[in-house]
Amino acid sequence: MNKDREILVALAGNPNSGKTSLFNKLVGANQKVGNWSGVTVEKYEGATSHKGFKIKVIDLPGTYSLTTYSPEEVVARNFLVDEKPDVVVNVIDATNLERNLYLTTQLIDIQANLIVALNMYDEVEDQKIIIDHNQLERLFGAHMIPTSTTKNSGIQSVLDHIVDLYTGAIDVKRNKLNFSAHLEYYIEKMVEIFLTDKELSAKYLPRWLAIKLLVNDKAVYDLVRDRSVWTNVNKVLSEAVYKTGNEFNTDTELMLKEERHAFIRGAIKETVRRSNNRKKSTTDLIDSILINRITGLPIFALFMWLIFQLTFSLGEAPMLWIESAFNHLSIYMSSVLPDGMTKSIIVDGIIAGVGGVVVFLPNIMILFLALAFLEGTGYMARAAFVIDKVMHKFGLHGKSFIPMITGFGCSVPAFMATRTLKNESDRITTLLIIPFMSCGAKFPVYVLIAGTFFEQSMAGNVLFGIYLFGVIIALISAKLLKSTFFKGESEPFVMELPPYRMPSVKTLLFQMWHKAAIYLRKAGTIILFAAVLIWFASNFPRSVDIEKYYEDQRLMLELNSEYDNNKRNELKEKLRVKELAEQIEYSIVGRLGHLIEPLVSPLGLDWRLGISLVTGIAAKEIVVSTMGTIYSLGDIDENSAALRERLLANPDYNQAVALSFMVFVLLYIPCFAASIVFHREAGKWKWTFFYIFYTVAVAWLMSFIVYRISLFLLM
Amino acid sequence: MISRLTYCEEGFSVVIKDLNAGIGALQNLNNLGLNIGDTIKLLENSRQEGPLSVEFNSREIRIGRELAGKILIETESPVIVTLDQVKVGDIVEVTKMNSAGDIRYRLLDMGLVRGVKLKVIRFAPLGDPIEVKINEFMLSLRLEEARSIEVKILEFGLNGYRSKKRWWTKG
Ligand SMILES: Nc1nc2c(ncn2[C@@H]2O[C@H](COP(=O)(O)OP(=O)(O)OP(=O)(O)O)[C@@H](O)[C@H]2O)c(=O)[nH]1
Ligand SMILES: [Mg+2]
Repeated sequence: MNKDREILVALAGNPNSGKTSLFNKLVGANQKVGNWSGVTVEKYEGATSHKGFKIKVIDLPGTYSLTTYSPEEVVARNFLVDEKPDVVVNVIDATNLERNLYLTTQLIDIQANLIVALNMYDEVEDQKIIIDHNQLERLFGAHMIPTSTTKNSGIQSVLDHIVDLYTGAIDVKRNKLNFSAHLEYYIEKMVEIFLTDKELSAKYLPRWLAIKLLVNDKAVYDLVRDRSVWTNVNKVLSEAVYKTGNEFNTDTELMLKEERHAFIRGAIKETVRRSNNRKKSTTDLIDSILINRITGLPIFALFMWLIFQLTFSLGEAPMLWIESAFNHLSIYMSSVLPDGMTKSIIVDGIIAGVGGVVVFLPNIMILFLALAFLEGTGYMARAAFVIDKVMHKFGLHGKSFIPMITGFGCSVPAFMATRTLKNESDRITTLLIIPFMSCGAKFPVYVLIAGTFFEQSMAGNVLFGIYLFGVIIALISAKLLKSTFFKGESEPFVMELPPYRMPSVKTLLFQMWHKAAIYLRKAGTIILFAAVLIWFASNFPRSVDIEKYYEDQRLMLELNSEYDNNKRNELKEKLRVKELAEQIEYSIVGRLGHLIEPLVSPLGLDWRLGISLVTGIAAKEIVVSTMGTIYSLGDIDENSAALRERLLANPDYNQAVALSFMVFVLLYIPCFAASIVFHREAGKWKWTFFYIFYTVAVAWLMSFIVYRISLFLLM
Repeated sequence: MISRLTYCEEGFSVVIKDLNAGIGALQNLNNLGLNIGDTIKLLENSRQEGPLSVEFNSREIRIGRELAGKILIETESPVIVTLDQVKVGDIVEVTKMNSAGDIRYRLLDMGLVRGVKLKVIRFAPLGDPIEVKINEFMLSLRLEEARSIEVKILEFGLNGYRSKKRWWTKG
């Protein structure tokens, strides 16, 4: 395709104005949409074609202005200012013109080829707001197109305008926003000086540079302060600052911003009619119940409790189906495959390892469906509002709460969700405490251990206690980290509470499916790989001596005529189990286990439990399957009575050991995949090392304490 | 205009006009030796927390902040307070922004400039943050941040006070 027939289009606009929704409609994508500010944190692109042109669309993170105060704003601004897209579509929440048009005035400053999409026009009509867009178009000098992504209207018109603007079939009027004579005087003066620097003024609009200097934009300051024109510009700038302070008793930044807002207010007065009916909106009504002073907290707690309840109770049945499907598969494979290594790898290694993980798919899907619903309706922002004070007490930001809740499902999306936190120290702190929010993969470990060592009635409480313990450790850690390493100021809590909206079923299902797909891919890749690896590590090297010894034993058994066939088979099975156990001790896994035994014995754990913890670094699901393998029962899952019996039969194990083990599993590093994501999100090796050290140290210490205390109390 | 005692400047004398509360609060006021119609002088008002101290009949009386917020008084001068001082339902106008750093840019960009009107919608269940309506959207911010925004009270949210004629008040 002809290169110059490709049009580069950027979608810019305030957070939560519907950029991603429009992006999805324009290019037929399925990027994540949610009813709170800051869903999109990275730019991504898609393409479509229209009237013979290839249109490349870039969705940008939402910004309130073209400044560079948070990482995602930098992404948006750099793209708009440096890459200079052919057309900029400014997506606006038309029910909220006062705030949204502010960015528009700044896009006019950089002389973008501007199209304004007056989005959420369906809501405008519902609220009986009348907007005179022709007049608005004249005032702003940009094309205004009413759109509604939910009603699917105006999308074609946006595409038409993009192409027409690009080909010159329609033109941009390019009004410039005039400030007061006082400010314009200094702007003109600076522009004149900037124009003498050909290189700089070719790259950036002189007027924009001047305006940005007046509002103390640090990035622009860095751009110009090394140029030779700077001394002269600085003279004008200093004069402007001085005069503004002296004559108007304010500063240039405030003055400029106030004039911008005044211009917008004037424009809106001229073009927008709101109906006067002061009837309470649905959002007011819902909020007066959901977040009022008395019911706000109980309802919040109820919602959180419901998420878990649903995740576990609704997930139960499909979980059992998948489990039995894998059982059948394993039985079938055992019957068709010839005895030998391949069979063992497939049945004991792959099916047991991967199956143990896939079993939890229903829980994961329900959890993410519930979270998507809370995000899509707008409750998530309210939850942050309700719980902010508690979070603040522990040095966290209200918004940290969203990643923390997500962490109960899986640490990977939780780590990624921390990007909405602007402040580095808030973000790293939140990243570091997410591992303590017990993820879904640790669940089977608790079920196995608690179910084995505690009575039925007690096991549930132990389970709940473990989760609660994790949350407490997370909060205390936050406080600790915030008062030592991350003393820096916490990000101020300034957040919009969007109106409630009904998310579309399609969006919800897609988001759920998307998460499910990631989970399955993990099962099919890293867990598969780990399962095979652990199978090998626990089968090799083999001791020839042991093999020979048991070979002889078997032979003797065959020759012994005392036993009937049944008895003989039974004894043979016993021999097989014993041989496996001895071989495992001889294998890499066994040796490693013995190597680390001194480290875990103060926690009451023996080498078998120790090695399960080591393999669990790959993925927590592997903890159970490793134990199964080590206890010489290749394909044991957590419901297997046999493994439980073996655990109970071991005289060294007791409730104190069980608690210690569960606490360790709860607190130490999440899986390998999550750790990679952690590294990507934290960005620095030092944090990754700290994360490994910190989680393991806390796990060890807490296990030790819990073990000693419970030894004292229980024994 | 009608204002709240908590909004008053130290050193001014004011008349207690009414109580925006139930009979229990009136009882509490009477227990302090005060009544509707009394003229009191405000001696101490920290504007943040703790009780206020007033002078009545050359006697110093301390009034809890909770109760003081319910005491309505008459004043001529416009009432300027910081945004963390307001009550639910108040309509205020921003007069000054003292915030610094990122938050200042953010708030200015969101439209919190001089002259803009805010309506106080609610406080979070734990008392912090606060939710206000600005232009057409809902913004929540911590009291800590609200403290650096000065506002002029335009209208008091009286929790339906005007519509309720209470039988126990005289006259
Ligand atoms: N009623 C209505 N709702 C819309 C429309 N467009 C988007 N929404 C809703 O607005 C919310 C925000 O949509 P997004 O597309 O995620 O907004 P965004 O601009 O990408 O937001 P950020 O990525 O956070 O900057 C979602 O709940 C959408 O369902 C529309 O035209 N009408
Ligand atoms: Mg988005």
